[in-house]
Parts: sequence; C-alpha cells; structure tokens
Amino acid sequence: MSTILIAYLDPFTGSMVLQLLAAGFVGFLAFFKPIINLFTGKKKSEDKLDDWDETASEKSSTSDAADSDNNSAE
Amino acid sequence: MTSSAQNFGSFRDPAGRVFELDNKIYRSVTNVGQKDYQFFLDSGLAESLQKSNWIIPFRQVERPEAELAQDNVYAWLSVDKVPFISYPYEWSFHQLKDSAVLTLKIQLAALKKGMSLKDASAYNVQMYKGRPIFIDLLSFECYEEGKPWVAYRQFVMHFLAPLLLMSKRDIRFSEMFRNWIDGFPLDFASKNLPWTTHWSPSCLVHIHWHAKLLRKYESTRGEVPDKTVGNMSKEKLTKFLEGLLDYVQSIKAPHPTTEWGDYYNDLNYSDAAFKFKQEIVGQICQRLDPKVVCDLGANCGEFSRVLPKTVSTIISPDIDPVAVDKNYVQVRTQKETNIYPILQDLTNPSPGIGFLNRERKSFMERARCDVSLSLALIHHLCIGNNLPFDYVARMLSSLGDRAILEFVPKQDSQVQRLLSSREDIFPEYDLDHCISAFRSYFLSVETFPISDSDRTLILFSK
Repeated sequence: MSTILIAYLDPFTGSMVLQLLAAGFVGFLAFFKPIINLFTGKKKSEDKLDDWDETASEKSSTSDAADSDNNSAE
Repeated sequence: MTSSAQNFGSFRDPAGRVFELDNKIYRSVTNVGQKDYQFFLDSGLAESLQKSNWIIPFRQVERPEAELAQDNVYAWLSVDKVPFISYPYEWSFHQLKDSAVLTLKIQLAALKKGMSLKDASAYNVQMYKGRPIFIDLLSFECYEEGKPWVAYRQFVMHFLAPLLLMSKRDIRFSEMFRNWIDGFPLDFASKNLPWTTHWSPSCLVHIHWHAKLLRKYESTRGEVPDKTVGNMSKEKLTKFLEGLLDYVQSIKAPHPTTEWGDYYNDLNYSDAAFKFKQEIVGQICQRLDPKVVCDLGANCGEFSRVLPKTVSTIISPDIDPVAVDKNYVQVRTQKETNIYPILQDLTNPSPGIGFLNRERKSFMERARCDVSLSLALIHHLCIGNNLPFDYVARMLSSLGDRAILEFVPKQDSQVQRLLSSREDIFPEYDLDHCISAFRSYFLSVETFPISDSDRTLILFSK
C-alpha cells in the first residue's frame, strides 16, 4: 500500500523519503549545534560575500521584504 | 503546433510558455496553471517577491499580438527582458551560490504564503542588474500540508552538488553542467567528493545518503511508503529548508592560484601605457556610443569599468573562473548594474545544448554587441591556440559591427613568454598581416599606437 505523489516534476521516492527521515535528523543536529560550536569555537560565517541579502536593493530593506515574518499569510 | 515566437526551451511545464516578440518577452499562463497563478497573486506572494527584487518584474497584459494565438490561455504576462542570458555552466562560484541562496529564500517565503516551488532548476535564475533574479513566474504551486518539497532532488542536483564539488574538489566542476542539463547525478557527486565529507552531517544527508536512497527506491518512482506520508509538517519542512540554507551559505569558495591570479601586477607595460590604453578605449566608446559591449577576455573586468556609463550592457567573459568570480563579487558589492561577468573559453565557446541543441543557446548566438573589445587577447588566440588572424576576424565580425583590438607584437614579453617553450611557427604574426586579414570583414581601420609600449589599438568598423 502506498501513496502516489503527482507532480509535473518527478519528485523521486528516494528524495521524498530522505526529507522525511532527515527532518528529524536535522532537528536533532540543530539542538546540539550550539553546544558543539561552543566546544569547537566555530562561529557563524562573517563573510559578507556569503550573505545574498548584501545585494538586496535599498527598496527591499525598507519595504516588506519577502521573508519578513510580518508577511506571513498564516 | 508551436508558435515561431515561442522560446524553444520552454516546453516542460504545461502551466505556461515563454514567447519573444519584437524584442519583448511574454509569458502565457494556461488553464493548467490558472489556479496556482491566481493564488500566487491573491496570496500577495507575487507582490512581496517583486518588491524585494527577488523575481523578474512582470505585469499582466491583454494578448500582445495576433501572432501569439494560443489555445487555453488564461492570462498573458509581459516580463522584463534580461539583457544577457547566461547559464550555470558559465557562472562563477559566487554566482551559483547566490542563485542557490535566492532559490531557497524564495522557497521559504513561498511556504509562508502557502505556496511551494515545484521546480528548483538553476535555469530558473538569471543574472540581472548585477545580481541573481528568479525568472520562472510559474514555478509556484499551492502547498499541500504534509508533502515534502518535490523540487528538493533538483535543487541538490543543480546547486548543492556542483557547489560542493567546486568547493571541495575543483572550481572547474561547474563546467560539467554542459553535459548534464538537469544537474549533477548524485551518485557522481557522492563518488567524487572527498571521503572526509562523510564527516559533515549535512553533506552526509544531502549528498551521500540521498544518493543511496535514490538508488534504493529507483524502481518505485513517485511512490512514498504509507507509514511516512504526512510526517513532514510545514514546520518540519521549514526547519529542513532553513538547515539546507545554512549549509549552502557556509560553503566556501576555493582559492586556487590560476594563470591570471596576479595579471594586473605583472603587466608588461608602464603605468602610463596602461592609463593611455584606458583613456583611448574610453574615448572611442564615447564617440561610438554603443549600448552593448562585449569585453572579450575581460579578466576581472578592469576595462569593462572604464566604459562610459551610457553603455547599458557589458558582457564580460573570461576563461579564468577565479577572475570571473572576482569580477562578479565586485559587480555585486559595488551594485554595478550593467556588467555581466561570465566564464567562457573563446576557443571553445558554449555550444547550444539540450534537445536539438536548441534548449540553451550558444554563446555566439547570445553575445551580439555593438562593439567588441579584445584587449591583450590576440596573442593568446593566435599564438597560444594557433588560430589564424582570419578566424579571429570572423569571430569578431559575427559578434558586432565594430571591434576594438589591441595588437600585441612578437617582441612583447607576454608573447615571448608564450613562445619560450615552443617553436615559433608564426612568421606572419605582425600588425600588417593582422590588419590585412581583418580587412576582409571590416571596411574601416583606425590605429592608435599605445605610447610607451610596442602595442597598438585598432578600431575596425564595417
């Protein structure tokens, strides 16, 4: 017994299953990450070039940027 | 029957098609795409993404022309035209990385509005006004609670796998996009990444385990075992995507030494000659007033930046991935909106790829310009690659009606360096033979000897 996912792009079962399994794994890692970083001394990247938002126009920083929590439809 | 105005590469998604008519871009939304498109507007997602400059500006219009008679069309969109279309195999590390980050941020923004990206192809992103922008307006579908991200595999194949291979193995891996139009096979990525990447939990999950699971379930495509369905709440999916975004943002560019690394510190002529060259190029371009210039062999874009501000599009190709990346990073940080750095080997430019070699156009089809600049390039083509002057003239003639070329004579130390390890089989490599070959393609020739140097700038016009 299985459920068929219909999509215009073939979603591939392996990729679907991986997300379901990894969701738990990622949450588990996220919980321990601050503790691990405390020991390894690893800091969040300060490389400005890695932040895509650096390139966002002035418009986006002053208006309702797409990822603003205030914009949530929920 | 497809319209002649239809973009050949626009055939996969039944929700709509892309058309080009009179130099304008239109997108049809079919009845198949009606529901998702309407929700894209009604949810406010379209407006929000446009305000953030994350998606290409568009507006809904009446059917533009009689030539675009199509069945089952729900709406027509007029879309801003990207001045120079480029493809992921022509992007530098940060161009691909920024495009990946943009795609994930759009997916997270879409989820908040009750939508999801139904595909995550790198071809959905283009460089536009100095930064990546998402161009596929019909990639958004209504989100179904409990459903994992259908485009996750495509995202990993198009973005994560090549970025990791470039970062951990070799920056030139991106060029393999030419072979795989739908991204890097994950078993290939898993095999070619260093073994130590198994110690990175994110790489282990997204690449190595992912490749294994794809193999395990390859005979059951589209089917998800019952016990796992419904387990991926929106909250879990969001966390998963945020983790993926963090991981992509943490991938560092490799820093290899390349042939061009210190080019501008290792020049063969004086500061005065360099300045003179800058001035002459600027003056010629001011006189010709071109709108589109192609700065062939641009290196880090030094000369792309001396062009008059009236040039609206500067295509800035170079063979060196590090130089292209430096050029792009400068474009992005300085908010330069008219320079388009791309990776390109002029002796083997990007061919047309995909079905019938027509889904993605060749570089020579895309790089049409008013003026081409070939500064300190001719010796690499003619001596480094044995190309006759006639071939180079033919290439520049097909790019545009005017060409500015810097002739580098044989006595120049850069040429001597190329000849130092090989026999000189170029008895005709001189200014006269060069001009004579170009006269077959260009009517007018103006020369400008570069003071304090043996080099000459030449303006060829048709």
